[in-house]
Amino acid sequence: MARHQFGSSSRTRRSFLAGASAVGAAALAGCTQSGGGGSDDEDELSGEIKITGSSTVAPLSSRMQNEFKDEHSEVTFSPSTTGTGGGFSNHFCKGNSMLNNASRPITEAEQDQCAGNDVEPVELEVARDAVTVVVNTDADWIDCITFDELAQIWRPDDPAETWQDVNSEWPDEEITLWGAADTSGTYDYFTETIVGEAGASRHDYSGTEKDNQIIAGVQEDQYALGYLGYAYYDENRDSVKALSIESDSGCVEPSLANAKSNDYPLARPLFTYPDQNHLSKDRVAEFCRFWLENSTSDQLVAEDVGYVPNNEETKETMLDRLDAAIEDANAD
Amino acid sequence: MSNESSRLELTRQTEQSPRERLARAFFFACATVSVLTTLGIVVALGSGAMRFFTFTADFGNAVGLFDYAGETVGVVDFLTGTEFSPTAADPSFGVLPLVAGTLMITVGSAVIALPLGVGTAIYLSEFASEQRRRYLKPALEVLAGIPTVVYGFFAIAYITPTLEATLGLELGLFNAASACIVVGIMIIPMVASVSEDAMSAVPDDLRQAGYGMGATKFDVVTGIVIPASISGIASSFILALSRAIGETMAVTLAAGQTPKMLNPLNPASYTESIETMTAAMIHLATGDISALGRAYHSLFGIGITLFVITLVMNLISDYVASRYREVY
Amino acid sequence: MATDTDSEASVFGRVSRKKVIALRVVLLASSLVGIAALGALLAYVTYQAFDLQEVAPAWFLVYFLALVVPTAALSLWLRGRPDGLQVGAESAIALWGGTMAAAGAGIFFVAVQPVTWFATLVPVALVAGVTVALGRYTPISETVRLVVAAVLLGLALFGLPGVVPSASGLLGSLSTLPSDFVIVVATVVLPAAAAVGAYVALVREERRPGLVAGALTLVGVAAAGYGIGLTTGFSPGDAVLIPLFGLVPAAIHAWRTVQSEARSAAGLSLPVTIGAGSLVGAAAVDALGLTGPTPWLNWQFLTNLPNKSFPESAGVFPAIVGSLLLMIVVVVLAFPVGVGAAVYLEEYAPDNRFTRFVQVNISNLAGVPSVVYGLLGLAIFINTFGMESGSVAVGGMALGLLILPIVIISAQEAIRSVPASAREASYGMGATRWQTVRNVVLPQAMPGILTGTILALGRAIGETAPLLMIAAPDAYLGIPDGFLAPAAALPLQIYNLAFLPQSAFRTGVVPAGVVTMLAILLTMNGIAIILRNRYQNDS
Repeated sequence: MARHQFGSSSRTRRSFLAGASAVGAAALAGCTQSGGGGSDDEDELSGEIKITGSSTVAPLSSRMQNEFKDEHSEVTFSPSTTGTGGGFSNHFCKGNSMLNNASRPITEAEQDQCAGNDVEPVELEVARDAVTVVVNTDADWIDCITFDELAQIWRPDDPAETWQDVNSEWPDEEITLWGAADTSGTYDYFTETIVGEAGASRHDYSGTEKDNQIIAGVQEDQYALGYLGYAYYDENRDSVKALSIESDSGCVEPSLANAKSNDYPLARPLFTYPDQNHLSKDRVAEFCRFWLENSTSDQLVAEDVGYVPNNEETKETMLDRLDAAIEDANAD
Repeated sequence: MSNESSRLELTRQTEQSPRERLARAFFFACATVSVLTTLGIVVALGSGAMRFFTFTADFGNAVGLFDYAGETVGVVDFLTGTEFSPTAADPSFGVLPLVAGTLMITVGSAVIALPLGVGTAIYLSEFASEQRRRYLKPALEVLAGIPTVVYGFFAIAYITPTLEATLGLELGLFNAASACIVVGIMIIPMVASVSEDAMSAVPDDLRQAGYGMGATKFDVVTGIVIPASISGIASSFILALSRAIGETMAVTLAAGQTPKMLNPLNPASYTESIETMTAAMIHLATGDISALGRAYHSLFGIGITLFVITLVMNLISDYVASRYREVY
Repeated sequence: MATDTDSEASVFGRVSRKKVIALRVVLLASSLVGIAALGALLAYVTYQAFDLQEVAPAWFLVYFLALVVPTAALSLWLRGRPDGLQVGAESAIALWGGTMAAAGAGIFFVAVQPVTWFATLVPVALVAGVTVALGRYTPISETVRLVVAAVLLGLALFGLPGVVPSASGLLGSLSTLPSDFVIVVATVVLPAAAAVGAYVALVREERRPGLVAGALTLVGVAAAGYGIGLTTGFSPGDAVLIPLFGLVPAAIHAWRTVQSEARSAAGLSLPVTIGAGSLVGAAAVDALGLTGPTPWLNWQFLTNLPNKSFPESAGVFPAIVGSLLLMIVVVVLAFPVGVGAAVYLEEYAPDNRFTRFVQVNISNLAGVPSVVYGLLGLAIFINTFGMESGSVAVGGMALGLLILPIVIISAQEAIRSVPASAREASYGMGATRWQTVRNVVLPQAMPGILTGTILALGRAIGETAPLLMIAAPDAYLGIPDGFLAPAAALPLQIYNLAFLPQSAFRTGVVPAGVVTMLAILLTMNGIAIILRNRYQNDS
């Protein structure tokens, strides 16, 4: 290195170093902050809450998280859309997440897996999804449909091909069918409720997880019929026509009010499963309680997200269940 | 460094010194990471696939909603079955509809990307001026740099409505044609750059010989350059096709979730929604079905099939390149 | 065979050129089809992201006259100057890239608090200093030194659990620490100023200008940053990053251009014109009372937390932070390992079956679908190694493995392009293989390697499927604060927003997210291209 080439450079270097260290010392002395762990406000909830699970429940869970975070800004939420089953078996039942959202009840096998890892799921029903049957706006021959007629259309063995096959007064045109993908909880619920066996459905329909496509498909075809979650129908009321379902109290049209009062027969329950071990953490217990207490809110659940709020009875049952679980958790 | 130690370094440094051995070991370790990755993939897919193929009628107590234990699916049935409905009450686990879906995307995107890619390569290597090359090559790289989920979004949000409006076709939100178009656009740069490298490697003497005999540029390009670089062009094709086969997010978003055995050579089948192998894996893994059951584990069977297909294609590409490559 | 038979009889040598011209046109068109299609798609997504539907044509006209026309005119004029347009484009890109880098550094310091950064850096620097001092002043052998360094580093960063606290932990809990501003100036601005000074000294071949430049950079940037911090809402520690990354590279570029005789400095007026034009346009639309767009892509969108029920409140800030952290993990993992593997394959590996096997293996891995890498991450990192699911560490490792084959292949090509004569010369002087690699091969291949790595990194940031499999969050309500934090990422968030019921998500929020991601990616692509151009100009 050219250390000895410039005679005056050693002097400039020395003065430079002196100046720099003076500045540095001044900076260190004058501009400091206190380090160490700042004292946490004892009243303030903080920490992370990890949530996995269904993409159907995710918008509702997200709404509750945003609302909760407005009140408790130090809590962070980490929600992953893993699907109900993937959430249980790959994450929740291995102790990797604190809550699992589910659009179907937990299965026995999943419970066994959880138990094997000392995970104790607590089943909390948080809302319901009113499954809506939609037809084209120009399908003027039908306003109300029965379970039996739906079963005739959707059963796997010898299903109806044309509208007329179901009801002789209807047009002799082939029914174009749209519905839930066979990996979704909606499919499972619909097939079990309508056809009678979970998974028992004809194969020649257009299945999709993305309900927007069902709206688009039914909208284009006068002789189409589809079933989907209520929230998507609600956003597209002008595009398609919803059919009323015939039940004991006559033809009930799909609405959140009807579903809330249990008049509408096609409302499937949505759940969240906290792990009891994590309920000993204040933030998790508080969040679950917050969610349940707001599960009856028309604004938060029905208007903002599009699901059916719990009625008071369900809410009370769930709150009791939650309180018992929290007690158990804190007792350990 | 002091003069003393540098003098020692010059005289004592040999291939066997600790520093050399350390460097060599480090680099070797880095190379083995890739081997370990393959091993990890084979283990991850293989263990899941083994579980899938060994489900029995009374596997534990796995009975319940979506927990279909059911009859064991044989490997042959899986590979030759023509229906794929893993969660039906009467499930079928045939992988062929998914293979047909993947094939459709591959063929469709090949129809778009291969001609355009080779055309681009010829233009870049034979016709383009230095100035044009400087702008064209980066622009092509941008095509490859767009994230695949963005391409999927483009397909459903912009391309499908445009196709419906201009061609008057009745496409659903999900259809194979839009997916083929975006995947095709995505792999054009791959074809173009590898083919162009191959064409640039053809020595100029050959071209000059052609001109010397009175050939036009058209004849030189079609009669000399392309045949001379055919192995490189074929390599680029296979590389691009493997990418199209393995494409995940664009087809998951755009192609659909309905496995169908359609004929890839029939243009009408591209207006329907299909499901590819990669999309099926995503849908099974993120759906609501139980992850302990047979339906979920079929995704590992699909994964292994896909891995084998891409491996075979790679070996073929290697063979073609080594067998037919002209060495100058 | 080649010529037209009817023309050769009449006029010797006159051959129809129609075929060639037609071919040329067809080929040019085919090259442009893909680019044009992508251009149309990008235009439309930008249109939706900025909600340009409601905007009056007059607004466009004003900006057209104030910004587009002068810039276009200047560009045309610059084409006549030597390298004029090139210089202009480079300086504009330097300013733009610098701004993005400043934003990136700012986001980094949001995720990793300056105090944490300081507490980690000081022990590492001390250990490095001790190791170098040991090497210079004691006769301790190299291997022992390396082992001591590794042990000290481990102790410093992690401590012995239960017995000895880590040095970084101790430092972090001191009662008085330097303020954020001092930390950033000392650990970021100071080395940058030293680098600037060294570069200037190198170019001018004298030390004095280097010292002056270094001191000027240090004091200037610190003062400017402090000033910006006082006038705007930013903290001084963050504000100092703006002049450092935004202005210093552009200033160096401008200085070099002015110095060189081959390149016209007139090109530097291009970014000035763009900036001035934008300001004039903004003032004009304000004065004329024209309504501009209410874009979906605005400051709120970039700094809000995610929201799945109200499109207007949706934001991508955690996803941007998460993507940045993922990028860092991916680079730290994939770059050394990828380059190392490439060096092995090109320089050390014997030509036997194992090497061929490894080579085929790598090309095979490059074609494996991304969802399989997610399954790999789930099965190996989360299930077998028990790492935190959904964390930046696991996500970064899965993505790093995904791009590793790409990095290896492009590094191999760069290394292969180093001429054999350079290597032979080095061996001829008695250098060992490692010395050759370190002193001859790698420096020459580095620009190509960097280009390939940056492009591969762009691919990694855009991948969604691996993150889906490892349960990365898609609407993280918080700020990822380290490498074990959940890996919120932009593509994952976009994927999950695309199918919500409210159509405004599809037509406004997702396009805004797409434009954000594309801005980052295209900047990275641009940097890679500039690197490659520079390299090709030098060689």
